[in-house]
Amino acid sequence: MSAFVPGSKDNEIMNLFENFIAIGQEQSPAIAAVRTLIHTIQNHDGSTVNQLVQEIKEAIRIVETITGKSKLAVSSCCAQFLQHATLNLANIESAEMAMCKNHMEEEGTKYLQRCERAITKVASAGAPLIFDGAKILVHSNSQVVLEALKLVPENIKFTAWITSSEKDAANEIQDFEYEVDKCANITTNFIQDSEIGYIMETIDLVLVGAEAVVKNGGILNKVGTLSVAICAKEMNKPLYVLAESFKFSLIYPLNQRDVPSEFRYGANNRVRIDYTPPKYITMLITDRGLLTPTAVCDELLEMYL
Amino acid sequence: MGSVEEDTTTSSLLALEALLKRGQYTRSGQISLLTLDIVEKYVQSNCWKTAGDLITWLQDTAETLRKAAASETASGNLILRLIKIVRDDFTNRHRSRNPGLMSQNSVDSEQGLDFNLEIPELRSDVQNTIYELQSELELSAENIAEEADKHIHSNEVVLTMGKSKTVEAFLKRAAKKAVFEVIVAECAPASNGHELAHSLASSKIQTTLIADTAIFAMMSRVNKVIIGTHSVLANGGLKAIAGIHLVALAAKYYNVPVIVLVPMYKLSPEYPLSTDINKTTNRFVSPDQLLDYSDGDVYSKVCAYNPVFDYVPPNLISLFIFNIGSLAPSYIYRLLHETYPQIKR
Amino acid sequence: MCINLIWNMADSSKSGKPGKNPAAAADAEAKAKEKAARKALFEATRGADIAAAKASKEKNKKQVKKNPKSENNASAPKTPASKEQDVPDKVEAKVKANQSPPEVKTQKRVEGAPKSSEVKPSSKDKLRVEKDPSNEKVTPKSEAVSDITKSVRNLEITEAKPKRSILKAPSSAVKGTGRTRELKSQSRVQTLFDHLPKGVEPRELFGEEKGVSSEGIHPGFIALGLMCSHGQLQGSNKRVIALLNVVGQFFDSYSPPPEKDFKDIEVEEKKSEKDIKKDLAFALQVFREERVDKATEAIVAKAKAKIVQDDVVLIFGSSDLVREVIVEASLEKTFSVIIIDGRPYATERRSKGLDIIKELGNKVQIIKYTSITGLSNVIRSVTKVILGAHGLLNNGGVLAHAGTSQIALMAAANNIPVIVCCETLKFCDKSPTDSFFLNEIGTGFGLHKKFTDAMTPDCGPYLVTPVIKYDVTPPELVTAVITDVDILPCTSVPVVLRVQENRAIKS
Repeated sequence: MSAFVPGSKDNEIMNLFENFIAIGQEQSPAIAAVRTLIHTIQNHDGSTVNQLVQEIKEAIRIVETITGKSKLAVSSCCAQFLQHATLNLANIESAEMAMCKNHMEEEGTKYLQRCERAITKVASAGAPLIFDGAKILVHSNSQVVLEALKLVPENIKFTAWITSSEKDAANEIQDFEYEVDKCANITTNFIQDSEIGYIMETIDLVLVGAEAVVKNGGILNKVGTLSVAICAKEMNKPLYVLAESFKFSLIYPLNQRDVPSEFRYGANNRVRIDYTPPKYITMLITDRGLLTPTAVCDELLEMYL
Repeated sequence: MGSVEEDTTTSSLLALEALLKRGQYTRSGQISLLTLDIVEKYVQSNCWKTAGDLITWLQDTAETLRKAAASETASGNLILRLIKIVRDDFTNRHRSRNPGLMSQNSVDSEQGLDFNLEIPELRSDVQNTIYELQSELELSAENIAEEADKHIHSNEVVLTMGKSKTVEAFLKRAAKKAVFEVIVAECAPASNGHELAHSLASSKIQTTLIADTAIFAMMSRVNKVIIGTHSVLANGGLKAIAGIHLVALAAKYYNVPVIVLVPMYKLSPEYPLSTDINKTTNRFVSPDQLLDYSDGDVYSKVCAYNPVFDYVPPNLISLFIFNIGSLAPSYIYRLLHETYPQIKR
Repeated sequence: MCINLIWNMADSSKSGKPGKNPAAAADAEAKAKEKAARKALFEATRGADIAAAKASKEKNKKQVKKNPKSENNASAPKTPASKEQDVPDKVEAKVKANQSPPEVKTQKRVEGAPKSSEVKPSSKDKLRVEKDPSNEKVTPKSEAVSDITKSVRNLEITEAKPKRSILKAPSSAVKGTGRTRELKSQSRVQTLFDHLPKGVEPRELFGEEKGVSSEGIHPGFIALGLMCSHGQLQGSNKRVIALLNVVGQFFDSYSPPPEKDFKDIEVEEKKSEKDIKKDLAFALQVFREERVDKATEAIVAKAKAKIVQDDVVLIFGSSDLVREVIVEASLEKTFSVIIIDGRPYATERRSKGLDIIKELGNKVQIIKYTSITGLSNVIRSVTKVILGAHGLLNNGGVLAHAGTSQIALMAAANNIPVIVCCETLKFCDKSPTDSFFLNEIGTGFGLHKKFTDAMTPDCGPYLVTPVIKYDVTPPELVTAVITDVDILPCTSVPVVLRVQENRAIKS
């Protein structure tokens, strides 16, 4: 958000990024970011690995600057990408730049493929949560949740209450609701955020996505998630979070104010993200498997060490 | 391929399958030992040559046994463990033979290996593992009981429910050093609690036998709850005998710690996803313990349920004591990670 | 004690309300009596403390209330006051002429209670002793009131004294093994129940060495007490009605001691013995109708309004009231019922749940039945839980059959509303925080036959099998209490009690 004058290279990256987003359509901007970074590696013409890494970091910074609402996801995804790409560099015996570059590109591509497959994996792991006649509450219009709901077999009929949470884009809500409504086996009800307490006693389970999964197993998600989580906990309803592993972030917020402000606020300086502590979360469904909140830290360590 | 050996293995497997289907078993330990016997026979035979063969056979067997009795996961768990151990052994042997292999990211490592390479030492490795597993199974109760001194002190009142071999050994071991009291809930309708109460009283441990309805009333005077379980689920919850959920809730209300004693083979990699877990993996046995046949016409309009298992969520449990040590429920995922093969990524 | 009160009321009302409709007077006193009577029996079979206290309070109120009216009797007690030290039935002269019956009846009351046997001699003595000093006072009503209050309180105290536990005997027999363990072989858990009476045989109640004579006690009370203690009479409503019947019988068969005459009672209208008895019987009847039968109707009407179409209702045990509710509601709407049982058939001779099934069998659409251990399997589909109660305590706790608290706990954990149906009659002044203070030890539970043979004699003392019959459900687990007065939260018990007191004082 800090004003900066883009140089020609920066412009290039920005264009590339936007291009990839356009091509990607439904995919998360994080994947577009990864593609941009891979492209950066491919077109790098420096002579040392350090330079390459610096360029990647610069690209990350630019991409983060122009990303709109998926900033968190993009940021954690890029950080993980960098980690993966440079992980085994030390094992490469030859000091040749080309080999390093190739290696990084390979690793990066593998990571990209994993990311692309992630959403399907999460959705298919999350679909069995829903049983016949279930009453679920959906909050925050997550793409992943949508996929999961679509993957529920036709013969399982259930009811979904969808909250009309704060809109980021004008047509975001309509799209989500429209998509869910399309499924023949889902009966949809649209409720205001304020009706959550009222409806909670009839609900069987709550499904949310996440913009980021933080180190202690909590999540950063659209504002209102914390209220839903507290209400669900009080009424003994399980809360399931569907998130791909590229959303795992190294942030560790202590409370709401500890969340970095560049993520917290959206347009018009309104709060966009809140932090839900792990004690309200029953289980996280990720492409790395089903995780209890305490297992998230373990997974993160595994990724980064 | 020794066809005789193959036949023996197959016939034992069929026998075990029949046992499971007919429900003619009482303890999952028994099933586990039988499963290990079958695997041992197979491993000793010449029916397999490569790790790949063995793993395939193990997976098939696990599937067969799972279909025979969906609620019994002990045999499946053991076989999964074996698969992981076989894979690890193979990987280690393979690496030691090919030291030049780059150590890869764990995510991709297994995809790169071909399990159809023959490694002669693998056979003896696997056989050793099976022996170890067998002895672990047989000694599980004693191993867990060794922790007894640390947990039960003098003048405490301990509550338990039903009959668990592990709990019995635990309490008797603790009684050698400390003088304490035990309250046993009888666990209707099977009423296994009577057996435990009798056994404890015979060992001169002060025992009180109560009906299940009195559990909440007595809980205010209890210092600890010590229970066994049928299996531990992947999220740290329990699949235990019906009635344990009541005990756990009452203990939570009075803030009494709940300690669960469980040998490793009872740890299951299943997650209780569906909120209707009770319908999917529960067993319902004959309600003749609840109702009398002679009053049949009166009860013809009644559906009597006699479920065997209960699901206890992980937030009600304070501590697990495995034969390898004690753990909090939040750490179960790590144990799973180490014990069972990873999900394919 | 209740009888004590009854007579006090009777007399005070009769003497103190000139010109008032005797029936009305009888009503008022009858109410007090019944309340006291009921409570007394309630207590007698459970702990004898609650009722006593309540009864005494009731009586207190009534006495206070009637005092102004019995002013004219002020003179009468004065003279007897001096007598009181001499005559065995000192109490007699205190308020009205009929004080002697109270003492005797007190004894009877006490002896009717199954467990108080060993305490009786001392309680009687104490009664007398206590009455002595109080006799010095000359102010009639207050004296009478305080007397009786004191005597009743003493009774409570004595009855509440821990009796030598019958079950202690075996452990004390374990001597000579020489280890310090012996001293501790007295189970800590077992001592929790020492204050509760155990079921006794008639011959243990009476006898010369016990110093208690069975003369002067109406056999109805003895029979009643025994039936309660032996588990043949279960259920608070049944017991209350039984007590009322016995009291009625007692009234009928009572004839005043030779030296006193009904005519000695200072009554405004000289009534014949027959008339007085008729009045009392009528009063009893009115009390019963109002506080038991009508109350049941009121509760049923309110409760069935809470059951909606297609509900899944969970009930426990065999409360008559809850059964009525279900039957009445099933006439108007269709819903299913899940019945939870404590100990299933096979291990106990009579299972309560089965009785309910027999009653409901054809009236309710779907019935599911399971033992309490199967509760967590069926709880998910439940929309309401309806429970009966034996008493509602001052701190909001619900005293009910053992197992009720667990049902409430499980329901609360699943966010399911718990409704308790209870008449105001059963509201109680005590506030125990756990389930041990007020309880009843039953019979019929022991180690399964196949193991008892294998038990060696020296292991016997190490195994105890108490049968805990009641438990206290904490108020936060109960959503609503439906009483004949209103639908209330659990914590409103003291409010109701206070309102009733005030009402009684005013009227």
